[in-house]
Amino acid sequence: MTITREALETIRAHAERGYPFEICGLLVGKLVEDERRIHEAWPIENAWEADPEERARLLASLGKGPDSKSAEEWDAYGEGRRFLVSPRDVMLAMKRARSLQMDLLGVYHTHPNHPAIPSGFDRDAASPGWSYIIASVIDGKVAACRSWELEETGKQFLEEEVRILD
Amino acid sequence: MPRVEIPPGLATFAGGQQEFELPGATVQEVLRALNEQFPELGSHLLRPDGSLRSYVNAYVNDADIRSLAQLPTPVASSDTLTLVPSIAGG
Repeated sequence: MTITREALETIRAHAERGYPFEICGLLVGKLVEDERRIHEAWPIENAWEADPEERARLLASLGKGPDSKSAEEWDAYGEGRRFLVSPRDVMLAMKRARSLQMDLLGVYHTHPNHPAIPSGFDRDAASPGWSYIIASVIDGKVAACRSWELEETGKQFLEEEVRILD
Repeated sequence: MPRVEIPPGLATFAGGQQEFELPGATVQEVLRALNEQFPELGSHLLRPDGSLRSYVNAYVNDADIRSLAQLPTPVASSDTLTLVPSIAGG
């Protein structure tokens, strides 16, 4: 995948502003011959705490992976460790992206004081066909930014090469 | 026929299409047609009984069908049914 330096800067600034909480946003751009080209990053409200009904519906649907935990265990963390983009925000962003002749191609979120590697919950909640950028934020500063894609089997994440475009 | 929109990430399960038309006079009928035409997409979005998976929301134009008549919500040819999952992690 490729990403513009401007989009990466948006993610960095959002990540550091939101520390020590997890923040999230959507990646928007164009799909060209199976390559996701991210032009913009759109910060989105983390709905994990704000939308308990949607959170409950999501948790009820999980539990497909080999190291899955119960909904209660996944729910034991707040916005320091979890993020949720509500379907309504996904729908509105999808329409806005299309009006700009672009597409919704992925999502970004932070791991405060943890590495930029997908967690078990990331894997459990992920869908194939998206880029998942994870920014590791250590002591308030972005230390690493890596992108991952879920295998179509849904069993594991594979790291994507990220090329930054000026 | 009503138009159906899905996120680009799911288009691979619908022959590469993010937008397509399907027959049906209600949301339920359109979802049934979706499952027949694109079974792989159906398995991602629908339960075996044909209802929506809990983390998938359906909007007729911009209105959540939960605020309308749920699956029996009527859809007209001029309507757009948008199907989107929530996105989460941590």
